[in-house]
Amino acid sequence: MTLGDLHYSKVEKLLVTSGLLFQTGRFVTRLRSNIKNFAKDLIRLYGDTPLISDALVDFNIELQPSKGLHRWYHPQVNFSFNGISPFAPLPIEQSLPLLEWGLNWCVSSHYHNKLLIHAAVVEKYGRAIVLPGQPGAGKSTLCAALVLNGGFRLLSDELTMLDLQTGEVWPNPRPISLKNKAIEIIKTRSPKVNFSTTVADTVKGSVSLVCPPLASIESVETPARPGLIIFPRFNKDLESYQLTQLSKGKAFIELANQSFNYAILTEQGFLALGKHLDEAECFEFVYDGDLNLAVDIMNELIRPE
Amino acid sequence: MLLDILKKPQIITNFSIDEWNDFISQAYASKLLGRLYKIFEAEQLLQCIPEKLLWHFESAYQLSLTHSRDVRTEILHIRRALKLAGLRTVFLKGAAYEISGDEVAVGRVYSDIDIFVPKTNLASAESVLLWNGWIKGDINAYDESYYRNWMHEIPPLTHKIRGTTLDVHHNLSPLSARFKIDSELLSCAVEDDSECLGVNDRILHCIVHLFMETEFDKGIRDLSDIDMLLRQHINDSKSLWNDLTARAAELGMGRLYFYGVRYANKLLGTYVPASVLIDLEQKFAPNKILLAFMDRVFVRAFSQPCFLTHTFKSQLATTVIFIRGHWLKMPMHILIYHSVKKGFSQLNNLLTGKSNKKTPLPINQP
Repeated sequence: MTLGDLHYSKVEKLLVTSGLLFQTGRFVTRLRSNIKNFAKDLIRLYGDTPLISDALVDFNIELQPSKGLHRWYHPQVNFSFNGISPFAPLPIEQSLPLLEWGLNWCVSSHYHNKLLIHAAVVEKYGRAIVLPGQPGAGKSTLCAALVLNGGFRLLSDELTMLDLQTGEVWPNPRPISLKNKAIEIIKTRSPKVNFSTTVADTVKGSVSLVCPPLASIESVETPARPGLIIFPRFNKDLESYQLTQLSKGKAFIELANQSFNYAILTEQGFLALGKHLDEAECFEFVYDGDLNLAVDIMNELIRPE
Repeated sequence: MLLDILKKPQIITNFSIDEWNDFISQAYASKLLGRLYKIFEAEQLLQCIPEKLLWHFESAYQLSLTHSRDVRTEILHIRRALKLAGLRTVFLKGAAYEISGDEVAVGRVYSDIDIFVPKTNLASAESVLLWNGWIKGDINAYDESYYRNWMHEIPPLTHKIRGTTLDVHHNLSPLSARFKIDSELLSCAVEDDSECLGVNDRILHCIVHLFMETEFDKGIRDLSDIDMLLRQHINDSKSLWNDLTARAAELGMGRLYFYGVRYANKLLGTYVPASVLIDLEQKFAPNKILLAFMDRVFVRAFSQPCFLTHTFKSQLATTVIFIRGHWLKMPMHILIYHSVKKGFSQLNNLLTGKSNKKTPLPINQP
């Protein structure tokens, strides 16, 4: 049974009482919330997600309207994890992005059984393409295009998880977070895909979340072998694209820098990253925003010989 | 529930799904996962943790190893800086447990490092730390004077590169407190080649720290600290208990010491010889009515992490502890002044919805 099979009123009732238990990537989340109409947004975004009853819970979280007099003229939402609020409250319209950021925080600050790297990652032919990138480099946009039009499986939009023993990539399929112009671009390319309502004026501009494909959710226990590591960079003044091979040493340092828990895992993290890089090829990919071309190139690179 | 698990870890073998879920929540709220990992390991109970939940304990322990390593590095930096001013560093709380090899250091996570500097050396210590990369936090003039005039520590310092927080104490209890600890006595107590308070003072400081708190957010962990320190260092030796009691009396904190021992014994089953319990009660206990009241408040407050309690009774206990903590910290006129000042700033926050926490970024940058 999935979250989408439940009637709206039932979801709402769970949210305000014992909490809604559902699968978020590799983890089970219990969410409580009294925010009006939040059930609707949740069903839209997590409709294909398995619903769980009576399960062991990883993340016990709440999204609640914050108290205080300002709630009457400037309502805010507060995220809490087992009663601890790590962030300042946000305007209540940003509840859905806050849920996603909060869940990312839950994983990146507590889960050290795998090496966590701040990168999108997709899979084809059993091999992963890891897409690290500074904000604005276009990693989420490229990730969305590969998943929605390129036949790639979404492993994660934000958190690449490397197995400490094998260096393989474990999926954590959750919604893809698109920002600003990328929202319209992807909507035009994939009109049939389910998007959340666009939320304007967040710290990162406008945000819209894309539902993860059902196939990704269902194959959460299938890891991907190392394949490619592509550092995308968007450059609108460029004619066409540039693909440059990158040394593994340089890629290693970049990935270690982009890792949340490299310093926590120390030697284990070093070995896991080394294992992954032993089998992966690394490139820097500068492109002008032509997503069709980018998808073709990735398909070419990942194709088995 | 956490108290029962700390007291008898074997009870987890019969846990239902709901009990596991409550347990994990409470362990996160109390920051006890790392310690529990080691406890379960020692009792060979790790295989009784459901496979899907094991990572919470493993990861917390892994994180505590990093904290321990980082604290040790930080200790080197602080020691080096204070040496420049010819000062010897005395570490308190977590850093002291780390240096002394106390069992409470294992599985611990740190939010800051605490050091003790006698008041006469405070100015030079502060300057030398500021020259060496520590900076003062962004606090307003009122808070600054609150620390300087009434507290037992200066406003926290942060290292500008490493981002670590340092609390510099010149006493173990607030200057304005009803229990005044003679810091001269403490300075004398540190042996020449040591960088920590002696065992008795470490235990007593741990007790002062908890029982003068205004918030019990880490109350269960702190009570467990008291329990583990007593088990490791005092245990069943009557003469060691007598020394500890004498030291508590000397420092003028018999009442707090009585509470610490009473609740560690009552709630975590810390071994205390019967004669010692009777002795403490005769010497330091409050009158029967107050004691009965305190028992209710503390037992309630320790029963689960205050973040997770929503019942009226536990909220009430939290409020009583909040008021009591402040009452202990300062005389009435200062307390009223402080409450009015803080009340206004809170009112301001309520109206504007401001908070001093960070705005969440889409993802915390590594």
